[in-house]
Amino acid sequence: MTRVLRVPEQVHSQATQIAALRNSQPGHLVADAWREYIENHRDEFAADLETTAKLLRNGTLEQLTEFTSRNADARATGTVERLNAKRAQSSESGQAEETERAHA
Amino acid sequence: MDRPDSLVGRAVGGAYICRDWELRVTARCLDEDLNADEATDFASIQGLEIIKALVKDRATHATASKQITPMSSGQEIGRLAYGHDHRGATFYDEDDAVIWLLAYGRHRSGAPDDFFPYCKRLDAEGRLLPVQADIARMYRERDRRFVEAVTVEAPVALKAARESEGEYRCTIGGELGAGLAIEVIEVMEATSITVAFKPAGGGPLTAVTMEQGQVLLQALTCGKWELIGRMPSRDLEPEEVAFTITLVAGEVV
Repeated sequence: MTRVLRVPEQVHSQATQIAALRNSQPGHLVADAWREYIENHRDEFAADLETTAKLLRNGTLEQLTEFTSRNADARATGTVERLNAKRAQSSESGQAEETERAHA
Repeated sequence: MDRPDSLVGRAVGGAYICRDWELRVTARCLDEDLNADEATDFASIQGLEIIKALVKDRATHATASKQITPMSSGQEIGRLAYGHDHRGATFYDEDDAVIWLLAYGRHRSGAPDDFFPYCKRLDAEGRLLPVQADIARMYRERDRRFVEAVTVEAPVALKAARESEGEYRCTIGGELGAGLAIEVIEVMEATSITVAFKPAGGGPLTAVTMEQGQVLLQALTCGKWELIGRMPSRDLEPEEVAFTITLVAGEVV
């Protein structure tokens, strides 16, 4: 099973070119890159696992939840940007229309 | 996301849990329109007529039959109606599987406080859509629900995996798809547990999946799990990551 992953156009172009050089597919390249990222961040992940283990053994549910939610604010910021992206687009196209009207 | 049956149809924290999404109210709407505390739980406001309408109309159908247009946010804002003049504005964020009640008011055509101009004014001011604090609260509550579910479901999954032949597949906390493979080497009294996980609803691996996976692994067995590249009997799917741990005489090695 595969899924659509949105990446910046430039990343897509480069991934397509490199995949072609390797006789592969851009999607496979991105999957490989992801696994490589995980591999390179093994220590960070291990440290997080250790903290999770400690909290499961000796902490409270609140402490474990708090640790699990450590990136909640950053994730929420990303979501707000996604929700407001259409506003930016519609205001940009609105400005373009106004410019066109002004020129006319 | 496939929510556990035990939660569907219940108010939990600031949410009302439906099968494929949850219903929530923005803090601004709670405070300014419903005269409730920003941190109010959903259960406390369930008696309000507009909240009854929200549950009745949006628990099974995500999309509103009528929209409020045009909106400067560029988002599709649904119209929620109750009785002669109670009106609400809803927003379905499919990516986050949530329907927000964004605003509530009375519809009085031509009146200065008519709901629809009020709603559009809020949108133009950038105060209609959920803000960072609304969304962060939702994420924290979801994380809590997941952690609570894992502590109950992980031991059950481990037992089922021990009893099953080959890999045992399950969904943990309604959010994490997991495959568990148990291998026992009797002469060494060794057991290896291998777990692959991915988002239950499909989609790419995210930081959330990894955070949830960490909780799952440690709830299965506390110890140093090793990242591996494949499951004992198969390659990993593109969205999966897998870890393994070996126990000898019940102790992690």
